[in-house]
Amino acid sequence: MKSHLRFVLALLLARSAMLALKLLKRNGTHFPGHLALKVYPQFLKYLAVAPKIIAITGTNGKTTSTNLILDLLSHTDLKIAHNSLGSNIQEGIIVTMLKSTHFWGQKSKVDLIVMEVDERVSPKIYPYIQPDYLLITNLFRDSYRRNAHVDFIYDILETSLPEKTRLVVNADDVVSSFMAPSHPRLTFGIAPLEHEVQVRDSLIQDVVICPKCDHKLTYAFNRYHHIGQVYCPKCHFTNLPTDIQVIKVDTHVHLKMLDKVYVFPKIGNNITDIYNTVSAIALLVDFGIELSTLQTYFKDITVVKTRFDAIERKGKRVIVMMAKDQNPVAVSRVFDYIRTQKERTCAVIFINENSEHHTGSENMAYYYDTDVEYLNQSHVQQVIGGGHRILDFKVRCLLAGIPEAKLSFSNNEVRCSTLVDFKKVEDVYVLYGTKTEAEALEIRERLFERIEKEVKA
Amino acid sequence: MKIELLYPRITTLYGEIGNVNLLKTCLKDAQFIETQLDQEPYFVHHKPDLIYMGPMTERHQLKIIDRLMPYRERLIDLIQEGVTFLITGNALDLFGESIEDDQHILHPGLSIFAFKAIEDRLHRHNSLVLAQYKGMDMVGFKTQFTQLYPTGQISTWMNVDRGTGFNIDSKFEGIHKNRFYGTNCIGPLLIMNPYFTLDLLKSLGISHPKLPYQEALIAAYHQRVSEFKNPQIINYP
Repeated sequence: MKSHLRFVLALLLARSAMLALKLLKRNGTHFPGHLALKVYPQFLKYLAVAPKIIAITGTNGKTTSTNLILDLLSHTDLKIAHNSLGSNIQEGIIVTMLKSTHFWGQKSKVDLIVMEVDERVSPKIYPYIQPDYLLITNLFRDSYRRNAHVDFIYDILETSLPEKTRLVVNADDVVSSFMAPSHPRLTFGIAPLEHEVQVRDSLIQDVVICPKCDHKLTYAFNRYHHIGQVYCPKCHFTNLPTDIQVIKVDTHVHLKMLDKVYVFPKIGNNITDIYNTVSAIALLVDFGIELSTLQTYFKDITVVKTRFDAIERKGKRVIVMMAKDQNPVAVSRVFDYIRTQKERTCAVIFINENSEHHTGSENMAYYYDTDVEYLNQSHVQQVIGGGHRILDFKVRCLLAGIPEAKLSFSNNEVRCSTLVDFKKVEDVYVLYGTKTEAEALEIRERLFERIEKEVKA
Repeated sequence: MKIELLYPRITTLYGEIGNVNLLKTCLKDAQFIETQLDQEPYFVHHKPDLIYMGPMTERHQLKIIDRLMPYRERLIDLIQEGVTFLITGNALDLFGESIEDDQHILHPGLSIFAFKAIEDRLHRHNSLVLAQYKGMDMVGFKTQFTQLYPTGQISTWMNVDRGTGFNIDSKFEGIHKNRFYGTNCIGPLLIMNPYFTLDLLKSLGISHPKLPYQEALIAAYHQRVSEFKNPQIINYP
């Protein structure tokens, strides 16, 4: 009885907060969920769930994959609740669940819930909301402070997985793809592509020894970090077979399943964009949508906003990209992308601190797991650091071999826009973190103003 | 000069590979010997100038204890003989009597020093650390699942001014015996503490040590010291 009363009180508070926020036109807040948990920590236990639940988790690519899945599902008649505008932690998921149910939370009003779930909070979600399908994009090192290391997140996920959940996993990732071996799974991946350059020089290599026998693994193909085709010469451990595989990428993405090839539009130029695409497709195939049907959905899909935004003015391009703070793999992937764009000279503005208003002294150890060396290229004419930790970033850049003459810094992120030398560079990459997107967009505006004044058409 | 890196494929978490890369830059003429899991350590039959081991996963902690246990006495001898050890992050846990995991299972450690490690995976411990050693400000970060508890006499390394020591109630951090330096701090430790690194290089016999980009390293260090000393800078809410 007490539990029920607490649930009702929590529900009423949360609903009131949601109404207030709606009236104030505030989206994407998890405050109602926060209130509900304060009153009743087991709030999720008593909420009705939709007939089907899809969850998406993993270190990188969750949001983009989720957005693409939702875009594709919008072609169906399914009534869907999702947290794409909100947060992927417990509080945000509560808001999603409240939106998916009638007032008292005892009856679902949707056919399907699609939720992005932060892997760290899996033990708080899956006991109550048991996904029918779980897409695990990949598992990499992430924030040391929160996620420790890959093993820890793997254990958290594996021990919290409900028995009924089907997995959709990346066969090229021998960490996540082997999770919970008793669960049925569909695998996706990307075959080595024509002209693809392997990246064997990443600082982070989380799978170097065989998980079965500790022998050194051989990488028959190493896409980056631990993504690729591995083989143990001692016990013959290797990747799982790939059910849905990208076999070719030109102006389109060519997928093979069961000896038949399907062609899809290409969204984005980065290999991570291809992974996001094939992961979304694999999830929906496992959900029950035919590949041929998905092809028709792609025809008029709105281009999914990836975290890559390039605008050209007078021959100069400003490219705003997220390089997620405290995530050495995410930042390394961005640096690797820049490394490959050799046809145009560039400046890189790096403003991805996490410390809000500089009230803390942020741990920047992750710089030393990040491949800053990738920016030591002849076409990278300038590396500009902005924010409070510029002295640490300077040390890292120097130790990475980047000539001091190419480096400049500003404590004020937005003032980094004044340090770009447009006589030297054609492109400017503005790399931001979870707390500095506003500054990145401001920098872009300032750069446009400078281009207008200083660059001849 | 010979530097032994113990199990580097699995002991370079949390950016601590930065220590190794800095040492390689400073000691260009040194031979760096990497001992892997399926190899007998170099130190078994030789006396390296420096033995380094950095942080690892909890699963690998137990594996490495298993690998090093047969050579426990040799490690004790080397420490007694004054071989330089630099042990960072949760690698230090291995040198205690035991590691008690989340299920309260006691895993034997190398029992070289008198402490026990207690793990709590539900509550990750993060802290900045400002400490004193030989009149030097030392700075670092803690990010770990274990806390260490002395069970007998130990020779501590640093006195903590701010942040946590062995455990949240302790104001002593790390172990320093002869030339054994072990700390749960990361940073990377050598990059965040250039004066300590210069001191370490001198103790290894480098008469006029100089760090690459020394000015930049020292500038970053002074900023950290000043921040860690500033009470308005919060220490991990």
